[in-house]
Amino acid sequence: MNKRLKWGIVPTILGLVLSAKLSAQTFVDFEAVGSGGVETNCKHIVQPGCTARGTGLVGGTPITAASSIELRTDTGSPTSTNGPALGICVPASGAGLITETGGSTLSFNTAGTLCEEDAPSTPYHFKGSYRITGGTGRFANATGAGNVTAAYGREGTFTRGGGNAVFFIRGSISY
Amino acid sequence: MKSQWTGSVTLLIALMLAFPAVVSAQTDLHVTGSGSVDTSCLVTLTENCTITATGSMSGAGINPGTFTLRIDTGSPHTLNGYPGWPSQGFCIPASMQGILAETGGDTLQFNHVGLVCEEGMPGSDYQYNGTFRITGGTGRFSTATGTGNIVGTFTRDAANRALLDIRGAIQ
Repeated sequence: MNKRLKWGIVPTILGLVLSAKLSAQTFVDFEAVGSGGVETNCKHIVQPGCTARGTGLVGGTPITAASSIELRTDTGSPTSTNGPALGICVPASGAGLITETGGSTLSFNTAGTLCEEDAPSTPYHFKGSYRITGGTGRFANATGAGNVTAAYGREGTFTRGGGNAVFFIRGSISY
Repeated sequence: MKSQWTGSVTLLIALMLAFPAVVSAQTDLHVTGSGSVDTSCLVTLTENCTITATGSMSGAGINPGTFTLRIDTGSPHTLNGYPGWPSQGFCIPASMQGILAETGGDTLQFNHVGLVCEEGMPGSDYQYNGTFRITGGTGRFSTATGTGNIVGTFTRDAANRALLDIRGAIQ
């Protein structure tokens, strides 16, 4: 075989091997839906420098049913108003943790916006994106991205600023 | 009987002409991609810088191929909420274009608008969350329309890793 041709085959094979490895990562749907409660020190109104911490149970795919979720959202600044009733919106970011009953955990960071629905002190929503940062057990090598939504009520006691929480996370995951 | 049949056909043609959107099928578009990111937002997210992500993609409503996502930042910036004040990262309005190119050569183009935010302190990993509007394409996508949500996540480690998640509808 021609020597030049022979050496030309080597990088071709290397390229094929490398590209096969790179394309080996497959993503599947990731969805976690559930409910629980929220505690917050954004007591009277959504404002800069406060925190909403939602906890509860979620299920979906590939997350098993009755997994626990903790979603922490810290508000930034400045505020803006969301409509004619002048509710407040603030930039917000934070982190989330989903723990399956079997013990595997999935960690992710979030970034987005926290907005009151209507007038100040009304129920509020976090809408943002997530980036999976790792996990344990079967999610030890997880990566992925998508949308995260949490809706928080104001039904709780005045002193703890609590309320109901509903979670909806949808995107992709590779693990 | 014949006149009844002719009447039905005429009515059907009239309906097809009156409601062309009913005839063209709308399907789910779901794209996931991974690759790398290059950016002129060197130290931290700032106004008027550019993020360009490229990589491989696959999903529903489109065949496997490559993606290119360009995000240009606007102004003003806001602070993202990371509780390490005064070292909070930035959020900035952003927009620009993206292209999904199937291996077979057909391409799908879209414009997008949204918000790009650092996850933590300035210079940390960052995320883009926006909406897209399909502006056209080539081949079988030459008359495509559609809309939906787009998420991009980007790291600042040695890999400069980019992940893409697009969900919406296309027709």
